[in-house]
Formats: sequence, structure tokens, C-alpha cells
Amino acid sequence: MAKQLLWKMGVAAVALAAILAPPAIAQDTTSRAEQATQRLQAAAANPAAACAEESDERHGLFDKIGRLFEHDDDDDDDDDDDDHDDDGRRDRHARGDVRCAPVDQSAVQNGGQPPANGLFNPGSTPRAQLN
Amino acid sequence: MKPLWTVLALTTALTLPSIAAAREVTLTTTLRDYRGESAFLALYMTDANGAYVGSLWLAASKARYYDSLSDWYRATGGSSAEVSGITGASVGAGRTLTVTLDLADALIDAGYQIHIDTAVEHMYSSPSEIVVPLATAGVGVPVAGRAIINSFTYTM
Repeated sequence: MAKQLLWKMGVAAVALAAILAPPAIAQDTTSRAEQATQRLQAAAANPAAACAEESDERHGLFDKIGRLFEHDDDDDDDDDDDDHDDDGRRDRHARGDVRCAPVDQSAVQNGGQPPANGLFNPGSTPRAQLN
Repeated sequence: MKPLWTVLALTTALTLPSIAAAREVTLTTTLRDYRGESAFLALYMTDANGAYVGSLWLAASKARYYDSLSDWYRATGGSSAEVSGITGASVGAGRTLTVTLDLADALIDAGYQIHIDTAVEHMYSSPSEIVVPLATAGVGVPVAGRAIINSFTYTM
């Protein structure tokens, strides 16, 4: 009798889990999709910040690996030369269509306010073109 | 009518000095069609004694390679403050980089020199590949580099 009750309870538990789990999985998938969309939108609005964030994530991963293998966490070691496009543009990073500015040059902008080194007319904006 | 002339005289008096104090200078650098990665270029200026004065443009997308531009790096330590606002992408083989700057008039015909350091990863490092005085006599005169610069000219 007890064995039969236990069996019924087991079946009920499995059935309940089957009913509850799919929405949770679907919700998780939706949530991930929303997060990805939000990330893309944020990245499009501020590519430099997105790249810095990406770099931090990579550092975090390397830190974890480093604890196990004493890995050098310098993620600049990926000598993939992906910034060496012939057309002067940067390669696409994994995150959507965002073109990442170099993380270590976050303060440097193409054609911005020039340094006050006495060479430039104050208020002028240097510009460059690649042909 | 008098107030109009007064305003005109005042605006002219205020505008002329600023026009006279700066000149638009265009630096055009064409690279040879070498086989290799895109080149990093540092364009900077020294005074008549060869002392570094300031950077004009840095075509280099990663700070970790700045030290390949050895003369420029020696003078600046690769400080991003030196090149903030005047940095762009590296330049591919055979391509032309045109930089347009509003430079102080006092730099022209005063012994100041334009330098260009170049570097190509795993290949060349050519400090001061171009050294030319910023002078009216040099306008439009093409200069060839010893490594990867096919020609450099400036107009103003």
C-alpha cells in the first residue's frame, strides 16, 4: 500500500515538474533574448562602454582560469591582429554589429579636441581620411 | 549708418588676428604597396633644435604597439594625453592618409620640422622616416621615405 502511494507521489511529482519546467525554460530564453537586445541597444549607443564591459567579462573569465592554471590574464595576448583592416576600420567583435574602439584607448577619439600642445589653433578639430 | 561701420570695424578687428594666427595645413602620406599588415604612423613636430614639440596625428589603433614608433615613443612615453583627439586607424599598404589640421602660424618658416615614424608589425620599424621643415618653400614638394612611405607632401 505504502509502495503504491510512493509510486503515485513520484508520478505526480514528475507530472508537476513537466508542467512547471517548460514555462521556466521559455521565460529564461525570453529573458536572455531581452538581455541580448538590451545589450545591443546599449552597445550601439555607447560602443566604447560596451567594449570595456566585454573586456571586463573576458578578464573575469581569465581570472577564473588563472586560479586553476596560473594563466596570464592579459587578454591582449590574442595576437589576432583584428584591428589591422586594410580599410582602416575595425573588425566586428562577437557582440552583434558593434565595432569596438580599442579598450586601452578609451579616452582617445578620432578627430576630437586636440591636445593643448601649442601646435593647434584652439577650438579647431583635426580630421583625417584614408583613401 | 555710423553704428553699422562701427560694428563692421569691430568684427573685422576681432576676426583678422584669429585668421592670421592659424593656417590649415594638409599632410598627405601615401604608403608603398608592401606586403604586410597595416602600418602605424606617428606624425609629430620638433623645433629647430630637434626637440619634440607635440604630436600632429597618430595612426595606430592599439596602444601596446606604440613603442614600435620609437622616436615618437621616446619623446612621449606613449602617453595617451599626447594624442587624445588626434588618433585614428592604422594605414594599409598602398593607401593614403590625409590629415588636415589648423596649425599655429608661428610654426611656419620658423625651423619647425614634421617627423613621421612608421612601423609595421613583424616587419619594419622606421623612426623619423620623414623629416621635413614646415616651410612655405616645401609646399607641394613630394618627399619619399626610406622604408614604407612612397611620398609625403603638405599643403597650406
